[in-house]
Amino acid sequence: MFDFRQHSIKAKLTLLTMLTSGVALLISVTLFGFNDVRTFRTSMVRDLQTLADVIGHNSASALDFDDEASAAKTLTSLEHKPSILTAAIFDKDGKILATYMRAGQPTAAHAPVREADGYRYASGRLQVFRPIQRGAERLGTVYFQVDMSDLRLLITRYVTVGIVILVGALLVAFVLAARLQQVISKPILDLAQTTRVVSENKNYSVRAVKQSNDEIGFLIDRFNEMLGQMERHEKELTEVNVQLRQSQEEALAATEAKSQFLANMSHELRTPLNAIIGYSEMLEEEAADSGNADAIPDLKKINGAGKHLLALINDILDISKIEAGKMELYLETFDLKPMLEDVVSTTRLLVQKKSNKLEVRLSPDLGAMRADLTKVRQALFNLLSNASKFTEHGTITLDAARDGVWIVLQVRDTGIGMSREQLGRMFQAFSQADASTVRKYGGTGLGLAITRHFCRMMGGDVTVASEAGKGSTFTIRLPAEVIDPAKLVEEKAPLAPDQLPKEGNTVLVVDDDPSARDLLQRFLNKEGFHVECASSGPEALAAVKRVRPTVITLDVMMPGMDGWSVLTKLKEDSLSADIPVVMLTIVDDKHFGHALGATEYLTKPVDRERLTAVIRKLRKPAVPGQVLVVDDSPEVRELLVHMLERQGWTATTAEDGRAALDIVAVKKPDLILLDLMMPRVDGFEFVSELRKRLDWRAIPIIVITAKTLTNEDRLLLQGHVQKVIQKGDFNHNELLVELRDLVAECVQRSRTAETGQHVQI
Amino acid sequence: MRSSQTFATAVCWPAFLKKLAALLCFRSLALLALASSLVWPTELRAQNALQHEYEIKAAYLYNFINYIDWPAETLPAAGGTITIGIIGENPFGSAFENLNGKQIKGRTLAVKTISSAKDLDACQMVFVCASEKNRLPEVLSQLKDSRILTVSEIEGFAEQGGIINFISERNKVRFEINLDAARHLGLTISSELLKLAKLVKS
Repeated sequence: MFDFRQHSIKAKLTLLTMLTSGVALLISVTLFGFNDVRTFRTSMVRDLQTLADVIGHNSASALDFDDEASAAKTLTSLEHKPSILTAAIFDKDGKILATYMRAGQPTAAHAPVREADGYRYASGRLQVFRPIQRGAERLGTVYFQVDMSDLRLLITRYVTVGIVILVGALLVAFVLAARLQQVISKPILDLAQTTRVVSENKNYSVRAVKQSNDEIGFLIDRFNEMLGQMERHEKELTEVNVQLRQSQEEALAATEAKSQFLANMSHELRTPLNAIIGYSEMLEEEAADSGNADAIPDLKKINGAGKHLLALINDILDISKIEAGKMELYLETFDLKPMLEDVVSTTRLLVQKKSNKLEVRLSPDLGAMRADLTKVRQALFNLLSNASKFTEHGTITLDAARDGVWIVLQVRDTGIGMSREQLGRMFQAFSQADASTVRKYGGTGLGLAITRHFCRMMGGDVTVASEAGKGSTFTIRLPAEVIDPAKLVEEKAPLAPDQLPKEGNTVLVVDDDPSARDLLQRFLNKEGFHVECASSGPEALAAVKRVRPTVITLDVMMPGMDGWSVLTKLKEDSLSADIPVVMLTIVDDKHFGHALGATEYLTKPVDRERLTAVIRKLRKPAVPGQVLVVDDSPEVRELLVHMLERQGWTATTAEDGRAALDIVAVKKPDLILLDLMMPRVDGFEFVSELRKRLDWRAIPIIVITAKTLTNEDRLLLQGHVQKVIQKGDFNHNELLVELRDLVAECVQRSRTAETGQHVQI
Repeated sequence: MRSSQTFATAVCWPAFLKKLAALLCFRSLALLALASSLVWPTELRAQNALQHEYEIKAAYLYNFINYIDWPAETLPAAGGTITIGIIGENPFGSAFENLNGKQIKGRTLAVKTISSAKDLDACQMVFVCASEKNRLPEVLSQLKDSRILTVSEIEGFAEQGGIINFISERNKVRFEINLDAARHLGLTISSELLKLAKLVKS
């Protein structure tokens, strides 16, 4: 159907003009036609009546004397009027005196019958009955039957002419309208074009050209004004943005410089401090030995101050490391009880200093824990020292218990406590209750911030509940089995070579040097490849036929048949011609290698990472895996799913964290691609929820986000996700390539990990 | 005519009705003819036809007035009387009953029998009856100088100096006119009338 609204204003104007003129023309042609036909008919009737009168007059005498012949003769004069088909003269009694019938007319079935005077239409013919009178005396009636074909002809001619005029006029109207509509449409179309240029090119410097002083001109003026304003705003905005970016860069650089400076400075400070502490201890011992007891307290003070200073420096170093994202986890399995007792004994002195009592309640089922021992210890130590710092003549309680997969460490004191506002700033670096606190209680104010970071890094957290004047309770919750996903594979014991999947995953290592073979085999096994070895060219060719490797690494310098010959043979055989070959050699002769058909060329000593990357690239797509895509944008989901499916993976999608958790609960995916900014449950929450379940922790996560990550964001994600890809960092293709490699790697890892676990069980 | 009409109407009828109707029509017509021939004596029928003929002739006499212009002095003023005189044995019977006293040309028609020459003065038209056949020359000579329209039904009347004479043509009443005679008397006869008449000369 023709939808008027879909068309350009040009077409609309033309159509409107044509419609208007067409309708007006149609009405006038029709009215003129009707009027003409009516006039024609009236005059025809009048003519006929006059004719009837003449005939009547001429037949008066025939009527008087009943003379049929005369009457008939009179009627014969009607021959000159071809439209009259039948005529008759009736006498005053209605009896027929004479009839006339046009030549060639079929004989009427029956004679005409007199009817009332006047005219009427019957079966397409006009019938006229006209009285014959002499004065008031009625003599008879004249009757005509008239063919209306003239009228029909006229009407037909009118319709034809009307259509011709209409079509002609419409054509003229079309030509005129098509030209004249430009007066109105051109400025509008120009304006539309300008808006398109503006919106497509973001070019606010263009201006629409004003052509008239009407409403459109007014519109164009206003539009240009708006463009001017936008241009100004855009310019201002760009300037501000540039300034902001500069400031941001400067700030980032400054932060970086600060962290770097702090790290360096701390390191530089420690060296002389070690000397001060060491020598003060030495002097103390010497003073004790030499009986110089007076000097001992002073030396102790020097030693204490030095140690305090060292602690401060260590804290500063930690915080700067954390902020720079350089803090790493070193996981190990340890018994909790000895560790806790160790910390308690270390802090006992500190606790007793302000006459506090320390109560330790260890749950009997504590058992072992896998975590970063140093960081757990430091976190707990920080809480205990913090408690003893702000408590005098009170009790400090340490509760340690296991809560399912969680280890809960709680430190309660009866100290000064904190107000609600203070609680809010509790875990922020460099902020204590207030500035005076530092003078009164000492410390760096970094302890709690460090504690929180450590706990979060390990997938747990620290919380506080406090009331001013009554004391505070700090609770650390840590997973009993901390998993550092970044080091997942390294943490796993390498799989036995025969447990590795062979299909599409086999590398044939060809080298005459046994140690080089062994090295490569071990390394590639560790990377998850199944490895077959061959020590000579012929052996290699046989192995290729037997195991159909996915990739071949080929040493060039071999006794007997050298690498080049093997390569040539391989490429000659259609069965092995398609297998990618990586040449490994000390001789750098890339062109020769490529000419012979080598796919890649690496020089010895082999860069392991490069080799892995090359082999991964050449290997056929990874074993199909299940990938969960979590993103609130349907376009992004679709794009990623498309990309994944093209690589042979199956993908499920979720539009937010809530839905994603539901899906994970039903079926554990091999990998999760996660957006951060989502409604309901966002990426951060999702990660923290996911990491609470031990069996879900192993699921690798790749974050794809458009959000510019703050340091805090980085810290939240650190240790929990495999990789963060910034949507803005890449163009689409690069993102896809990167993502494909990552996903392949992750799925492969989680697969091998799973296989490994199963085998171990 | 009648049978064709019957046929025409019968065309529309179903076939069996067509036969029946044709039969019935023919029967009834035949019966009617038979009955009338039995009931009315032939003489009576002839008399009846004669009466009808004179009714027509009376009407014609009346109609002639419309087509004749008399010289002004012979016609009485409007509102006067136009008189038709009957010479001889009047055959009209009651045929003039309807016409006598009728208005024509703004005057009243009167019909009277002429018994003496004096009576002729008031007449504008005279009808010379068939009874006067033998003394026609005498009658005509008597009317020769008058301005009176002479009408008769005697054969050769117009040729002998009469103006209009009724004749019979295919069983219809027609008339012949001697235009010279009329002109001679100063009477003008309308061409309308002339075209209906058979023109004769003296």
